[in-house]
Amino acid sequence: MASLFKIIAAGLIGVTLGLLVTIYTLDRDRRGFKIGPWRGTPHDGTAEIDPYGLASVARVGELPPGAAEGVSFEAATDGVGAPLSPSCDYRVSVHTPAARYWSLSALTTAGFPIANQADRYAFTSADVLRDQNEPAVIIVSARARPGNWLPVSSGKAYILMLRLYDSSPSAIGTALDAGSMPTIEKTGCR
Amino acid sequence: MERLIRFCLWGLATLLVAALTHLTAILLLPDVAPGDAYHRLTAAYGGPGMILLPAAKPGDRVIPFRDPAAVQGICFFDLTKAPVRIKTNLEEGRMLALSFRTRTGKIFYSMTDRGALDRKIDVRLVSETQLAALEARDDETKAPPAELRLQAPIAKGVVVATTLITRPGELDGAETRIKGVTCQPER
Repeated sequence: MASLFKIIAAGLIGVTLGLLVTIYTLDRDRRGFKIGPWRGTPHDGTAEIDPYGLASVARVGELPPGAAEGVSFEAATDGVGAPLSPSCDYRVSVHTPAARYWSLSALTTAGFPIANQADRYAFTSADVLRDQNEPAVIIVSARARPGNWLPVSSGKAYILMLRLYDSSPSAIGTALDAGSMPTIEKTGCR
Repeated sequence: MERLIRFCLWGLATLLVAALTHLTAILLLPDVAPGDAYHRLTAAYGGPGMILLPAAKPGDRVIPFRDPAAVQGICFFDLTKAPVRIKTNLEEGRMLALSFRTRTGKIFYSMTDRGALDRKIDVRLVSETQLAALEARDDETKAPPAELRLQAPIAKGVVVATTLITRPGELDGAETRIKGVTCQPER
């Protein structure tokens, strides 16, 4: 009787432990590689995606871009590693990445656009205002800002998503370095 | 001492169960996850041909982590009966990307307008047996295929077409580009 109890206990603890490890390893915030504040999983868009990547994509229910389409990065922190706060303003400076187009959007942590009165959900390399030969500067804030203002909602956590479209093969590997990626700098908080 | 050894053996057995559970969950998830993209898209937009997805907007709850600057369309394929032909004419300088995904979410091929010849995309999506039949026909006619033949690793999946709204006011043009992609089983 004591052995049966031990077998059942070992089984239950083992299954629970296995499921907890599964949830931990599939967390989006722990997958892929980091370049500064940006995290990317470019192999999710290839046929060489590993079982963990495939399980994570299935669990989240997303449609990652294919390798030839481009690559996606997400940032939940600023350049010094502090979580993005809806009560702070951020200056995102986008240099010219190795891609045909790029887009920068703010999404809820669940991955959906944030409601705002300006009806602005993203900037692209084609519609962003910038000075010639200068990086594009986008201000992420819950309050209206002049210039390239990407609105977020006050009081609601968010992430920034960068998509590089039709990027060169070298961009989908380790060739990207922190210097070629957009910087995220906190400019003030309320 | 004997008690310690017994405890360690029970501990090892527990860890073995945990490892087996973990590996089983990882390998089974793509096949059984009820909330994967294929199931979500089937439930929300299931139908034949290329279906234009609504732009990612607040309140959208179907597919997370979509680009609000992109317009996308989807086409479910089932190769059990016939190959599927995907065709479109391209606009100069307008990005159009296609990705071919299995039901479990693996992207087995992707392309953009830059990889197309003569400003058009023409893909014949086939199964292994359909490809063999086509190649046998080629041997008879000795004519090279005009289209790109793409063998899908499994019979069911979805083709995703993506284009960008590069400037305000370009939504209609982007939607027209997606609607211009035909995706139909061959008769």
